[in-house]
Amino acid sequence: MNKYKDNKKINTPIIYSAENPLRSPLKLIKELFSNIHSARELTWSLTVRDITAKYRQTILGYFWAIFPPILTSFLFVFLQKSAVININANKDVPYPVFIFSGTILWLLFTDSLNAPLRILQGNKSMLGKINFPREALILSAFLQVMFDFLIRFLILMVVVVYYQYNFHSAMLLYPFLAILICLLGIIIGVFLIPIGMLYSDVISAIPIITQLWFFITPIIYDVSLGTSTSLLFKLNPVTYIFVAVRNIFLYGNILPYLSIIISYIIVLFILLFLAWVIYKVTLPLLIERF
Amino acid sequence: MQEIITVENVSKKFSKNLKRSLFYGLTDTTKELLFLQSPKNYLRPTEFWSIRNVSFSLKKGLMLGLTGLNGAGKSTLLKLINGILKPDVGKITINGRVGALIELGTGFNPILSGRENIHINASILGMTKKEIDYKLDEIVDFSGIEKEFIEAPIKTYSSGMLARLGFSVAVNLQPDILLIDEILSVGDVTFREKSFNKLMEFKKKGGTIILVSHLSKNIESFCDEAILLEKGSVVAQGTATSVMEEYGKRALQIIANDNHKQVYGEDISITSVFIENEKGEKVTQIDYNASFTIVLYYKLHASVLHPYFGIMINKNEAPVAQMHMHVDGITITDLPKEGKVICKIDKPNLATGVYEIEVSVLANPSVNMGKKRYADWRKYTEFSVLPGQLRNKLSNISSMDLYTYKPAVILEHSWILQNIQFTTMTESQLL
Repeated sequence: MNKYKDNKKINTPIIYSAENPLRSPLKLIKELFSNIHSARELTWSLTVRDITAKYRQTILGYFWAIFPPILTSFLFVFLQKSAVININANKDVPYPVFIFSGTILWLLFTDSLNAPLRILQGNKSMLGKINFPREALILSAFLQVMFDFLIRFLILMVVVVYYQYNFHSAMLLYPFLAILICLLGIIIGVFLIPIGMLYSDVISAIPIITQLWFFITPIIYDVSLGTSTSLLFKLNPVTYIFVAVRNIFLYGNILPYLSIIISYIIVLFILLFLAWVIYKVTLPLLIERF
Repeated sequence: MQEIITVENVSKKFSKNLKRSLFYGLTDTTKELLFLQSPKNYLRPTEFWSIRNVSFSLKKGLMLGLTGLNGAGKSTLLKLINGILKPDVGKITINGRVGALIELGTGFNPILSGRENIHINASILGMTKKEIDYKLDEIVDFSGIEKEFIEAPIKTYSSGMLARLGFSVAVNLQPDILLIDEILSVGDVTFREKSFNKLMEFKKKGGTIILVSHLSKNIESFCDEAILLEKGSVVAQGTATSVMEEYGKRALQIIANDNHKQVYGEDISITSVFIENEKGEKVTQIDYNASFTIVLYYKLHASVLHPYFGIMINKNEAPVAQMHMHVDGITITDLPKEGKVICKIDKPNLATGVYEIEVSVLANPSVNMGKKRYADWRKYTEFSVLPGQLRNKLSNISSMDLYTYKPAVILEHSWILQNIQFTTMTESQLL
């Protein structure tokens, strides 16, 4: 008993009051970072729990992570091959490689978009019963979504080898660049939390919106080659980063996209901070309405 | 000693209407995000105060009981102290690490093994990985779950095993302050006893505990102080015994009010039940071991043949004693349309606490074509037994050490000690 020394002794008193935390921003920021620190281990065990639980009760296991993108890819490869549709794509890239690299990226985006609300809904009872660092749920959502992506990325590499597409080292950057897309999805998802946790309309609307979104994002076709001037593409915040990340993967040319990537990183960091503050400030008010 | 928890004028409101509640949630969050400090000290339509102007402070090493009837706001207050809910008014200051046992087995996943779930549950409750690894064996041991089961998915566990597992993790938390909500009633008696001992151990080491319970035995036996809540407000505050006395009185009042609404059985209805002390006064409290009578008034709606009146005394929902005409060999041959039946009880030997009285009227099956009851068992009233002459004895010894659970009955007894050296009370007072 005495051997173990508790290293988490709290010296400063914890105060819960009716005050708006935004009115003492310094304290809020300090709290945000101390929470991240204490959320690390919990994040990890929640991630391990959810991933093992998700795949343990299956026969096909991790196959379920790759099944959806494979199916979507097959569909479009089939439609293209049988000339039902004529999709504008670069002829230098085997269409399956092109389509699969795109679908897994899109799936990462929609998974990330759904993840914050989904994980909060799934842990509703926990949120109302225990005071744990709430950041752990979102961090865990991020890890889970990225885990699925990594499995799909391995399959993508198999596809690349199978179609004898020329391998280049920039391909290995793909998972890292994909983090940007994942973050974008999660940030949008977190922004939806205040309304989404109160009204289930949001959860019902997300699949419909993402379905339409799929077609105005250059996933199954290549926007840089053809009529890319449409306003819809320009307004779509996903387009630029999508084209950049995939083209770096396919052609290995980082330089032309460097400015896009850097500006996305800056914008994402600002948005991430905003989303985090909103999450932190609104969640206690939302929990009591569950 | 240092004040470890201070609660100052805390209020919390909720809405009774779902749509309204959601809308308020939306306006509240919007206001908060717009940096507005909205005055919240008033109610909007459909809202009510779940906690109103509650203030108290607790010193380190003490155990506080929060009690009250269902819906009094006990759990809400606990969640406010835990920081799960944000107060609408007021301030709560806490000096220490808080561990809350509001629900057992939070975050358990049915298809993962017992061991995996211990890890998850413990880290949700705030244990570090190092801490969990260090305590894992202790937790498994404490739960009493066999080695072969600990690797099995917990959906194969019985509900008792699950509760034990959840509790084992929870009591092995070593925070400065422990918040406990009505979860001590899990498992069988021996496990409960073990759990309580663990809590007492925690307290002896200087831990502070807030226990929510509506069972007077828990509050009276373990807590130093208590707070009685009614509709969100504090109505009694002080030592556990004094607060529980007040609770007993108030509970009786509510029951008495209920009794005005007569409940009709099919053929016979019990219109009122109360107890009288030796002087024949209608009372709700009696002293330890003082004789009393149970008086019940009835009204007939149909003719009944050979009814047997039965009275049951319960404590904490468990039967303690039963008096039955059938057992006593009394057969009523003619029962007036209205009247009273009195049962006199000498030297009851009931321990201190709150007791419930249930009454039923049975039929003799052989003369009633299989009909078993004229009036079903039903709780009619409550009374409490005060220490009385027992107080002198008990106040000298920590009653906690005497009874891990307050018993319902103290038997007439004496100790026969041959060839054993012993001393009488005066020296053990040093405890």
